[in-house]
Amino acid sequence: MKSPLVSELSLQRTFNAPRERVFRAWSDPELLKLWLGGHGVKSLHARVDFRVGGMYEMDMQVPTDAGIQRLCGIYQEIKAPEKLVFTWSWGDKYSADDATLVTVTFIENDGKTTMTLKHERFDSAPARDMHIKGWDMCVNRLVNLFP
Amino acid sequence: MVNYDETLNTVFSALSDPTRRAILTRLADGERSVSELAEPFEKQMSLPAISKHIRILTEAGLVQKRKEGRVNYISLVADPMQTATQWLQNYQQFWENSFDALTQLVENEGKQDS
Repeated sequence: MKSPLVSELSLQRTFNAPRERVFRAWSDPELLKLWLGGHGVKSLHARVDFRVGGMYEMDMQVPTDAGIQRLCGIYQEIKAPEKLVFTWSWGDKYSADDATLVTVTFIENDGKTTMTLKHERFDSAPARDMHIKGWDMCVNRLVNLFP
Repeated sequence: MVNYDETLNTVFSALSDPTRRAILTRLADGERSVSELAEPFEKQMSLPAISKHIRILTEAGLVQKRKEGRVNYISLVADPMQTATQWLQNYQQFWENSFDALTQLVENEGKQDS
């Protein structure tokens, strides 16, 4: 059995912008490409079918790596501009078994938006142990570009 | 840095092949002999072909080999707890970096509008 201790993480950030604008950065593929992964990660061919049950696909390329990593997932819940839930899976083909779950909420106060992100179900993927090493390296590589 | 990048490339290419991913999945349950690992593939592929896949995984540091008599046993190298923790930390960093870029996007966009 997988350990429940390390199955999720949670982050929060406040933006000096109304929540419609922050939410749109998630739903518009042209905007999504500009920030997901951080500066310097080149996102190619973002496709977004922004509806519940719809799929997003993004191909990400980091400058030092010749390879392209595909990220994809399916929208589970869309409540603009308050809440967004979608699955998250690395690989050329979407795999529900390997997918983790991302929940993002947006709360606006005085023109500022507090965004909370929960990324969970890391322990639900049966193949997690085999993925860990590779994606650990992958994310490490992204991180190392922007210390 | 060059060596570090080379290590990453080795791991990525090791993981890029479905046969090697299948081998790693089997090893998640514990140590296996080379012939046990070859068994599910015997119709598609020769033993030397499987050995080559195992060698690539070994060179990437994903598996290790132990010899007992004439039998080679293969096992995963990763410590699951440690790598899982590390994995989450790296994901956290991935999101932090993304949020930094998002901040610039939504806050600069705001200035342009006004």
